[in-house]
Amino acid sequence: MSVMVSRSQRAERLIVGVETAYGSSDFQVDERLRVEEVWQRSDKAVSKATIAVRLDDTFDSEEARRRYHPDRRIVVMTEDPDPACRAFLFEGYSPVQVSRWDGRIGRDGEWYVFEAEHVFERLSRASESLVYGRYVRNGVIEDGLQSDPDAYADKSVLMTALPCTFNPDGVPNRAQVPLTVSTPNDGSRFIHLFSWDDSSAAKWTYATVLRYLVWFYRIKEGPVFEGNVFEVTDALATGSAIAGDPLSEALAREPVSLTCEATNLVEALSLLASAAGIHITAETSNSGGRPVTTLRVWSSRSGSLRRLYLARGDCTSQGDLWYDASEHSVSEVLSANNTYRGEVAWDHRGIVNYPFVMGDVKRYEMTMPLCPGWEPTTNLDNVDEVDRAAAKALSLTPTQVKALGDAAATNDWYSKYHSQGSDFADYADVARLWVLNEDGAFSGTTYNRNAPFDDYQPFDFSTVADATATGSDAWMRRARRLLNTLSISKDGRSLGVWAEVSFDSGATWQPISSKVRVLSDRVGIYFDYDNPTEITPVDLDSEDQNMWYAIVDQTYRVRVTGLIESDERVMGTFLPGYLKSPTLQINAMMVRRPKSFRYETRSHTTNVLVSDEAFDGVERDDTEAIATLARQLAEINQDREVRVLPMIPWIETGYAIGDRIAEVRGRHLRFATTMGSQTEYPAVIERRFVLQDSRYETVLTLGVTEVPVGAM
Amino acid sequence: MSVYKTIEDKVVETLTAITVEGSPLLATAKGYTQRDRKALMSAIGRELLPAAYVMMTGRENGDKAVRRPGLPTLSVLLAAKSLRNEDDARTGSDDVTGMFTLSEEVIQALQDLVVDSDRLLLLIDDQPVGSSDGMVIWEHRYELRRQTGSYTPLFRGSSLIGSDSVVRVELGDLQREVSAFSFPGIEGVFERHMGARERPIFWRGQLRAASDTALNTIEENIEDEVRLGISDNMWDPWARTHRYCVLRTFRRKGPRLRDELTGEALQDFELEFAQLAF
Repeated sequence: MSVMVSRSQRAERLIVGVETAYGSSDFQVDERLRVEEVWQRSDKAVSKATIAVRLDDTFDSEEARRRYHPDRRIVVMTEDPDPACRAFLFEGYSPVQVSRWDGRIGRDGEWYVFEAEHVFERLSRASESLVYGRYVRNGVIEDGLQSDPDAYADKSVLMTALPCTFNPDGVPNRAQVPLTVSTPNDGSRFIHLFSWDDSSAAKWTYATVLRYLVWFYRIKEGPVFEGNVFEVTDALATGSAIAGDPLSEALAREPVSLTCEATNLVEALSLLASAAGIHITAETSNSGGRPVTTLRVWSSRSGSLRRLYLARGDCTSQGDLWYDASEHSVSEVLSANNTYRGEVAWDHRGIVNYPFVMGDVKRYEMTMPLCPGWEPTTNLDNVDEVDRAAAKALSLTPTQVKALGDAAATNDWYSKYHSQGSDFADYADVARLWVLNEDGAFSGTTYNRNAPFDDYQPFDFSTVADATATGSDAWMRRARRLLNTLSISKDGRSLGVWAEVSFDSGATWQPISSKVRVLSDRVGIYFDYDNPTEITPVDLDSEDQNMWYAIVDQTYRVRVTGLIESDERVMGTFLPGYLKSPTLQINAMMVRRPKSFRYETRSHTTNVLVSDEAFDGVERDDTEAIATLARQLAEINQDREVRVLPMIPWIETGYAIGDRIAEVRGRHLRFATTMGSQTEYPAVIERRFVLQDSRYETVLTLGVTEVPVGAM
Repeated sequence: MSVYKTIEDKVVETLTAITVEGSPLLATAKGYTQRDRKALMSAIGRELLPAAYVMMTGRENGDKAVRRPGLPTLSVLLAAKSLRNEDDARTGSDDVTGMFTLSEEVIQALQDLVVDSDRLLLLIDDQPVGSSDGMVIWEHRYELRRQTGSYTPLFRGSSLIGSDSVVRVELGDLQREVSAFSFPGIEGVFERHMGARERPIFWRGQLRAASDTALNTIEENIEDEVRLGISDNMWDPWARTHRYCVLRTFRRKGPRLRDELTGEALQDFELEFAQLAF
């Protein structure tokens, strides 16, 4: 790069060095090659270059194809007699070579052009860089670690059965003990590796994921070296982060379901960068006159704060020049001006000052009384007290069925109410189906019978839930599903739907779980016994008491405890006006995250399990978390987006990728935006050196990196 | 010695040296003072005929803008006489060299005559100016143009256009390739220059050859050079070498002609070379 010191100065050149042979690392400057463009990018966007070959009578396209074999590396650098002083802008290969000709009059010509891609792209094609499976310790290594820790400290194996997914659904799957590996300079470093998905494992952080990926999938011998990857994550690998450093804070966070399975290292690093809100750039630099490409991890929130320059032009109202170039030396003029073209866009469309986050439907665990789900039946329902003994006598207990043998089949009761009976299909619900009638499908006209089932109405949830759950009267009359309880046994086992029966009008209850089928389309259960007299009180024989007898006696009751979904969702909002925003308009946005935010509680309802010390509960209330997300969304999107495209009329390497740009000084064009309480600046995310009108110019692309939700 | 004197002496010497069949063409050839036509006719009539007066007529109008003098001009007054009749004086006879022969021989001798090392004598016109008593008088007017450059231009070691052709070499514009930029609202521009680019060099003049066939050959050779596009050295009349020249264009200017006096085949032309590097 040559700094301009006069108004007329020889043009800068970018020169191209071509490797003398595959892998020789010896580059010779080739005067036939002219750099049209070098485009330096980050993350998944791999840097590239366009290079033209000068053809003449002695050097045609075929000769060019022979000489510039795609296996030979090429480097683009600034021109300087001392190789150690050249700035290397690009190192790559030329896998795409295009010969083009045109015979149209006035446009005739013949061209040969490379479309070169950066050496970083090798990490998307090399077999060593394909990411699949997990590096873990097998049993031999685990045993070895116990018997000979030093020998096995760096041992791991690739297992392909389990996918390369970090913290799937938030479940940790990182081995507690990291590998201890040797570094090229005889040091050592920790590299974490996978275990299986289990709560006893440790959680990955983005730092440990980054180290894992770069250690196992980067080709050790190059052409892309590790750069600052381990340097910026060494402390994080041992669990300490640098407070106040945005890069360190971003890398210290934990990914959730970061899936890198069946990718390559470039894609995997890109996924990581996107999820963590950081950037990874493969940069080529000069190392003793030779190009060296290394990885650089950076945060767009911690780069050097820089300025662009363009003095105010034209005249004041008094006719004086705002900036009189004649009073300044050339160096001064060029110090005050470096952006001869440019574009700044302030895009207000993305502002969100009233976000809504929609979580899952709220669910409440409650205990509900059920009522018969069959139409009143003779000799079972509405039986007068004097007739009850006779009615009971019509039924057959299992013992009686067994005694009758085949003759039982001819019994009227057996044929209707025993599952083996010939008419059972028509009477299958009798005594067995018990429902909540939450939608009112069972009308009193048809189903009213003896007390307490003499007034069938749609179930009123306010009888079992307090105003918190039903305060808005939002519970509509609709069929609902009865889900497993949140309550679990002390040993952690699910209770399923907790059903209880009573033979004494609800004075005492006993749980019943076997042969109880929970209805899938409404709240209710079905007793799936062969003989309805099989259900008996504890310690009593069916000859003495059973469900059939108790129904006849009008003392049988059924209740269930389960999870019922309400008609409300857990929602998070953040009201406008609390954050500084450049607009007075209300810009709302809806984000739907039902899997992330749930509300499942045992509170606010009648619930027989809550007070029972035999049970625990696994409740979840994401109300606060969803409100936090809403606030974060408001903060992330509270300000306009700033996009800047400045162009500098020479080769300018002073602005590095990752540098933040505060303003165009002289024009009072400021780029700061606000996120929460922090001030943000657009960072250089791409850099292009373009041959324009026979002169190289530098085009910077500035932008604000999208901050992942939860990264604040 | 003055320039005019040098010119006059050279022309007189040349005229004196003209011979026809071994005998001098002119009985009298000498310098004379320009004066009115009647006096001249009277004076030359008293000379031993055929006779020629060489008279310097000064300089023509030059560039008025920068007050540069024009080209020196001279007149050659020729007189032939037949005692028998005027027709013999005009066309000639066994005894008399007629004015037609006299005029042509003089033009042949003086046209393109190099005088004073670098001045070329060029015929402007010739015309009869009077006759009386069997004497016919013609006047030739010439201008003297200084030749610039002493060498025959060459390309790839060859004159390319034959030995008889007339050519002048003009170097085209030489300029740097420049890419300029400015900052909006700020006075002045900055430029980055990429070095000198190609320069055109023109050969302009008239192709001359003894016959159409010979001119055809010259033109074919030139066209071959255009097609080959070989870059090589060019030497201009001032002994400068221009490297990396390639013949790019051969333009014929107007139709092919014949010289009225010599019968040579003529073709006005322009060759455009491109000097690719320096």
